[in-house]
Amino acid sequence: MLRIVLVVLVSLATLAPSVVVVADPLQPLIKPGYRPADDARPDELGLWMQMDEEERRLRTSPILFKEPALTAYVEDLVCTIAQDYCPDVRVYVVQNPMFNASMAPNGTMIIHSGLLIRATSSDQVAAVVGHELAHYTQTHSVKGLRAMKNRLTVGSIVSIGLAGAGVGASGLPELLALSSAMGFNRKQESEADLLGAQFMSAQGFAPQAAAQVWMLLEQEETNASIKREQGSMFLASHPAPERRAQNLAQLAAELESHAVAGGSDQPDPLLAVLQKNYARLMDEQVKLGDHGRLQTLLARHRAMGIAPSDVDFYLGESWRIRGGAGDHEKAMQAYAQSIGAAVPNARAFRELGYLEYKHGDKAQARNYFARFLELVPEASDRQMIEFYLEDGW
Amino acid sequence: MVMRKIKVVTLMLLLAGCMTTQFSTVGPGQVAVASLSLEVWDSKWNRAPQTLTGYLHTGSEVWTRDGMLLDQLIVVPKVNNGGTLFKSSSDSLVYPTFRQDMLPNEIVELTEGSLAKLMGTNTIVEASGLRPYRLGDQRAVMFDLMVTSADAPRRMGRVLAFVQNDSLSWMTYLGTEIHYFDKHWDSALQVMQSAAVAG
Repeated sequence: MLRIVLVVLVSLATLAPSVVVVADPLQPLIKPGYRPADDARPDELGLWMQMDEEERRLRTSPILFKEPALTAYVEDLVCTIAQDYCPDVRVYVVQNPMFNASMAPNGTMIIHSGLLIRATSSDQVAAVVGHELAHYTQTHSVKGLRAMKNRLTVGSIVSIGLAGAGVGASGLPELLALSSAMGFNRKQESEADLLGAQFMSAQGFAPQAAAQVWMLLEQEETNASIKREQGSMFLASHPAPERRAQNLAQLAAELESHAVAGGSDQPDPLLAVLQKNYARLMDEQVKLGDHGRLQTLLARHRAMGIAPSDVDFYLGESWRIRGGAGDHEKAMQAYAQSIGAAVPNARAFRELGYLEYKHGDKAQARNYFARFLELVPEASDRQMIEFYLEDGW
Repeated sequence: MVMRKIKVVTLMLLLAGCMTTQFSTVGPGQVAVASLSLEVWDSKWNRAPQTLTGYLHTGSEVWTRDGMLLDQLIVVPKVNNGGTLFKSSSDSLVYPTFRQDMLPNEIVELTEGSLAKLMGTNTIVEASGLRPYRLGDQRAVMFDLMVTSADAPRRMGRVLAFVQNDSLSWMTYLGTEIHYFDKHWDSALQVMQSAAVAG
């Protein structure tokens, strides 16, 4: 039902922009190159110092997603949207399967790999980047910190928050997640939506993508096998998804009427980046063990144009790992689709080998295992596969 | 309200002496971890108290030689069909389940998925090097782990697992990549290699 409402809202906004109430454009509160002066309030100076220190640690963090094409794509996109603020922003992609992004007051932006694999267009990534950039230009972190201090007379609010969240160490990702969850109120989130949409549309990105992001998240949650906990940190600070999608759709309609550039005929660079890193990004998702979410993502990837042999391989994984009645048969069909492609996913041969073995067809299993080793001679599980080729369990 | 109840129950258990709060020396000699019998060659292993291992099912244990932040031997003696390696603490923490017909590649996935959920999404758990292993007459598998966290030293691991009487026995040694894994791996392997299901 919710999905229908959202679709209708977006459609209405796109088709009939004249009926939408025009919002006043927001202006960034800080100028490019901003850094608090030495005589600024101590809380802001302290927050910047802490974030600078955390960023130093983040730069060498082992969980950074270090792949040149992906990093370049994200950096280019952030700079395009940030424009004059580009030199003030440093973006880090961290390997984390969950959808999230955050921005610190000192210009540190963090994007989860789980956000990129959930986006179906660069416009959607731009929507999130614009939103985070707006939190930065409106100094929401500092305001949030002050609001919290007013509510609580606690010396170290952050450490209490970390303890409460079960986080053992005060890494920047956790810190930012907490500060946004605890510090940003719904008014600030709405402000960030508005200004973020202005930022992205000013550079020719489709502003309706912001509403799409929330619709996709809602769709994923509806299909999820394992639901988010009620009142989770992520949702606590954000307006209700349907309200948010409605606001964003209205805003998009308004901004579209003033759009500076139309869509591009060039292929979306997000597709190439996702394709190049697909195995790594999807292996993270598989480990979450959520069949419903995985199926939802795969349907999107197929529509986007990710190589069918890769989509089919992960489709096979989702069925095989769930392992319910009839699931192995579905997995084998998907793997068979994958190996039938012009450029098959080599891992599909191995998984077919295991499934054939499990179902008693050892000769066929050996064929698949042998083909797998031909394609991936340096496989780390070569000893195990050879064991099956020679003897078997 | 729920947290308050948990605290009260925890306090009652502590007062009743049902929950250990101190490390205790393990061995030397034959040591039983529930249904699993292990041979320990020295007295340098220490059993972690239950207050630090709340994620384990009853019967499972964690041992360490230099402290849990540096090295851990996790012994899960028996997982029955449909069971999990670790105990869930909430509805949204759903661990993958063991199935008695699992093949070695699926034991690897069970391990990766379980540890990834246990350690959280800011930790990357990667398995590699799956290979057959023999424990006397018992066929087993061994594979390697790399555990990378945002704010902790990278840890190496090695898993030895086998299925007997439709139940899984699972042992993992984890140590920091720098120094501690290499320092204690031989001792851990001695213990793991001695594993036998009692009865």
